[in-house]
Amino acid sequence: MWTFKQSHVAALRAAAEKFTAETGTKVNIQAVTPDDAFLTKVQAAARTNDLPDVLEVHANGDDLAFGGAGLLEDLSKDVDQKWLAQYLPQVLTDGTVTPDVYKASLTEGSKTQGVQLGQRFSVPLTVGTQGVVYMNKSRAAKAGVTRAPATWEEFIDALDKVTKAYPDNGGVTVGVKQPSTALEWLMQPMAFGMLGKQKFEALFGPDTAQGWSSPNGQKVLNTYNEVTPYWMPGTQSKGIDEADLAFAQGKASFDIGGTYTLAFLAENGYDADNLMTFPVPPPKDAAIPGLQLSPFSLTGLSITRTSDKKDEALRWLKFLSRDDVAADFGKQALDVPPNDLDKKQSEALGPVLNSMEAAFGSGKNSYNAGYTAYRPSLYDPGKVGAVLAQFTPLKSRSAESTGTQMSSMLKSYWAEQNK
Amino acid sequence: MSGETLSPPRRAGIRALDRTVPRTGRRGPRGRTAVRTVVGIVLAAYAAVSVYPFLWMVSAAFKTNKEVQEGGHLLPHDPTLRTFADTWNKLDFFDYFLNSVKVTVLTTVLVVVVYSAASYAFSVLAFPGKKWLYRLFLVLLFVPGVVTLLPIVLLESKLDILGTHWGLILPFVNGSAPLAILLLTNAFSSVPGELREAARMDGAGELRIFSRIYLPLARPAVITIALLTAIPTWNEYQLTRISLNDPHTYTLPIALQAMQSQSVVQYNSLMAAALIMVVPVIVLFLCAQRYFVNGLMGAVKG
Amino acid sequence: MTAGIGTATAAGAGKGAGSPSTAERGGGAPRRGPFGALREKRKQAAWGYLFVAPAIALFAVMGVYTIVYGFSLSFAQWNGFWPEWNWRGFRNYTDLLGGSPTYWPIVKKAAVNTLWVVIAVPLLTVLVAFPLALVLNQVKRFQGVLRSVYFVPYVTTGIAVYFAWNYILEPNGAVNLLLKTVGLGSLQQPQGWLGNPDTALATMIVVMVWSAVPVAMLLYLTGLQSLDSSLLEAAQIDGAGWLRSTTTVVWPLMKPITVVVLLLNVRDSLQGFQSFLIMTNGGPGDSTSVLGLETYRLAFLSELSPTLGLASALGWLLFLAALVVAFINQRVMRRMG
Repeated sequence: MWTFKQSHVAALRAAAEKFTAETGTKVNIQAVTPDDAFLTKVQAAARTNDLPDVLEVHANGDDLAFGGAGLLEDLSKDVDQKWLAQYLPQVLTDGTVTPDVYKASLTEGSKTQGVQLGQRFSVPLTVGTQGVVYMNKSRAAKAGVTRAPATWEEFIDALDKVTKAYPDNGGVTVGVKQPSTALEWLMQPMAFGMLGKQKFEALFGPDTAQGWSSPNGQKVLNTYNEVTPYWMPGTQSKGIDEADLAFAQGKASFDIGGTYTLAFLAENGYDADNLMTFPVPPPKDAAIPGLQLSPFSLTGLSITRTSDKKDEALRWLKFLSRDDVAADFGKQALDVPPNDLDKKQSEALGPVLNSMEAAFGSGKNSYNAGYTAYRPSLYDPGKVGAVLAQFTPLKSRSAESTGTQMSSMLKSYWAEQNK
Repeated sequence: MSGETLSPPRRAGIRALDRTVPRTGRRGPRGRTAVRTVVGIVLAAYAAVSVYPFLWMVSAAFKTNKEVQEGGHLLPHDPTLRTFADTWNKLDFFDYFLNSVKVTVLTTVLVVVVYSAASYAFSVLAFPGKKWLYRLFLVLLFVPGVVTLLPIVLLESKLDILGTHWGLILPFVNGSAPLAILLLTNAFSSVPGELREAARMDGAGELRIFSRIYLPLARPAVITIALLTAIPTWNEYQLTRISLNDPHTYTLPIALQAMQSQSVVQYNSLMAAALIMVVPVIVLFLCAQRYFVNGLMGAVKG
Repeated sequence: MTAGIGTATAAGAGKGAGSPSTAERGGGAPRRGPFGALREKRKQAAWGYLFVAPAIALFAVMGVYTIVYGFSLSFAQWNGFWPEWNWRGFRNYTDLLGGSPTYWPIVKKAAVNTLWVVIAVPLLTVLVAFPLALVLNQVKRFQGVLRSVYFVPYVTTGIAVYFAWNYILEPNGAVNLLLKTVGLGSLQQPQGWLGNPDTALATMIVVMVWSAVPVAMLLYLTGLQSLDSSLLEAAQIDGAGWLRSTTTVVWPLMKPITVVVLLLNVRDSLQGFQSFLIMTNGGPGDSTSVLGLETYRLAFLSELSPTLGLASALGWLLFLAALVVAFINQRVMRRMG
């Protein structure tokens, strides 16, 4: 089995040992990092028939692309109701070809072309959300902020108070060196809450009249711009880890991340008791006032078509999906498992993972960042995010020119797709 | 040592020198000292800039992870050897070291042998098509590397060398062709042609002339190309990671990368590992140094 | 072995002046008559082919397939996993060169940035490395130590380079601190030198030159060693007319080395992406996006979109650009010489 996550290797090996003890089947775990090496290795192995039996994949990404290209086994018949019943309801369709995915796969140049409706190419291994604000609790308290902001206005107000009290290190950070982070972790959840699902998705649609230069788009951008005075200096040249580190070291008092950020902060010596976390809040007059963040699968497990040990591989996947195994795996790998754990098992995850799990929302009012079918297939969040970064924190574009530029990029992505 | 011959460029240089530079009228001792001081300061400043990241790397290996991430202080607050010891164990150094040495040495030796021979032909021998072949190799310098990994692996699978050390060595050698040929052809061209004629009079064949005259006289260039091949080969990760599957064949960069892609990177450990990996390279450079100095001494003596 | 060289050397020196041109060497044994000369010519050609044979053979086996594969891919649409390539003819090229509203703006911006890098990095590298090698070649004390010290950037791990430079360039880093101390506080970059879009590219150029200098210096040192010491003595930094003797004598003799240094750095400036990927990832905004980085992104960071063909096409356009630059370079150098 190959994984692209070095941090999963030890936990997978531990699980493999237990698996061997139970079934006698040995599992050999290999990490291939970074992602470009992993992808090229899979490409090469697919052509030379050297693929392993099992792959860990980016869920709703690699799995569907590999599956469409015929590399993966369709698991839809093997993964039955009993198997699925173990998972959180929000992630049940992750790794499957839903009507949205199927429709997208039919466009020219789609990365998932070749998939068939109803197929399943992976089962979830880890889940998470993005759009979580981490606030330095003691500083906030000193500045007079004692409860988690519930609206965007309160959030901005909290930023203002804390930066007034701590002019040197009161600001907010996010890894803008990967420009998609500010876009997807901060602006999008806020925009989703502000506009509601339909109007939010229209921002990315082919109709520019409802896009970023429309009143809706401009309203989102101008609201988002309120954060500009509070960025930590130099946040535009920080990567994701560096931004989290800066927060852990006290150089910033707010950090935008995902559920996975907590483990990173804890590992780097940040006292988890000194944290107040809350989802990026929508404005007062939002379409969805009590916005929650829905978890989605981050990584999944797939079986390759060329595997000659399909039964063993399936048993391995099933083994990993068991509540107790998944909880152990999560605890060791510091990642949240996709399982719908009961209270006792959740507590077994330890306080850090447990509190992340508790932050998951569900239902219509929650924002699922893992759902991207409304975007054109060539959409590149890094490029769009770079334009947004020019708006803020760089202040080299106005809201108007940012909206126009983002709209025109989306228009060209759609044009590429509909050619 | 007998490096007393003047190559044509040297002679040309001296003739030009005689014309342009009056040997009299040097600066007074005071001016000289001033110039020396300024040059000394500039040299020292640039030396500091050159070596600073390396020193940072060294000091980081003696810090705690937290201290590494916190600041720019070069001196560790509370130096510890623990990191080194732990890292040494984690790195499985000796498991991978010999593989790394094997790949690096074979690659370097092959580069020197194959391309010094070719360069000898390009700079000295006359044969039809020479110019075009030489240009072909130069042009290869610019071939985009971005989509070559995949075809290399596919090719090796067909040749049945995928996953072996030869599957690394052969593409590494081939990839070094343009630079090696460019440098060595240059170096051989500045060896005076009379040497070859004289040796031929004495009945020496091409092989002997090449190995006894050209190679030794171009030694600084040969050492340089060996260094410029060995160091990147020692550090190569991409093709290595993609083509090797058996842990017994792994080289050191694979172990290093594994430490680098932990979700929470222990930077002190990473730096210690990087340092352990760079030690053989430094030893190699210091050894090569001696040959540089020797070559120079020869010239000075002459 | 030394003795062998000695004899050859003495004999060579005895023969007097002569340029090492191939023509002259080819006629090395005129006394054997016209047939002898022909046979000699054939023999030499045979030796020539024999000497290049291993290099050619290796290229034929390892190189040709790779290049043909990569070149064909530039005419296709593929994400690396589809069983078949979609042939697109020249569309990848036309898309990159203005045909696509998605890619053309990216390429345009990156091309402008790359142009700066391609002009600045090779020139600055020569400007730093040549004098450095010259001085290093004549310092009497600490020569070995200094040579090692100046070579050290070449063996420093990428991630350490990044961290160390970051601490220098940060908002409260060494450069800003230094400016403040010497009273040039107004020049400080409150967002850091890599954080300001106006200074980021220039800063990256400095970092690239810093990493390119060691190899260039080593190459110049190699070249300087084939020069006569009396010549270098006259070009002593504190001697009279050192500037003139350096520029009129040593510099022209180092021309082949300069060509190598320029070619290498032109290539790295056009195709390199590693330092940009680690240090700035093309940002802030797109102020340091360069073509090498965009090629890499199209190949590996497009989340499996079928852009491998585009990446290959961009790679080959850069190949073409490098050839053009190399050609101009050669012309200029010839005129200067």
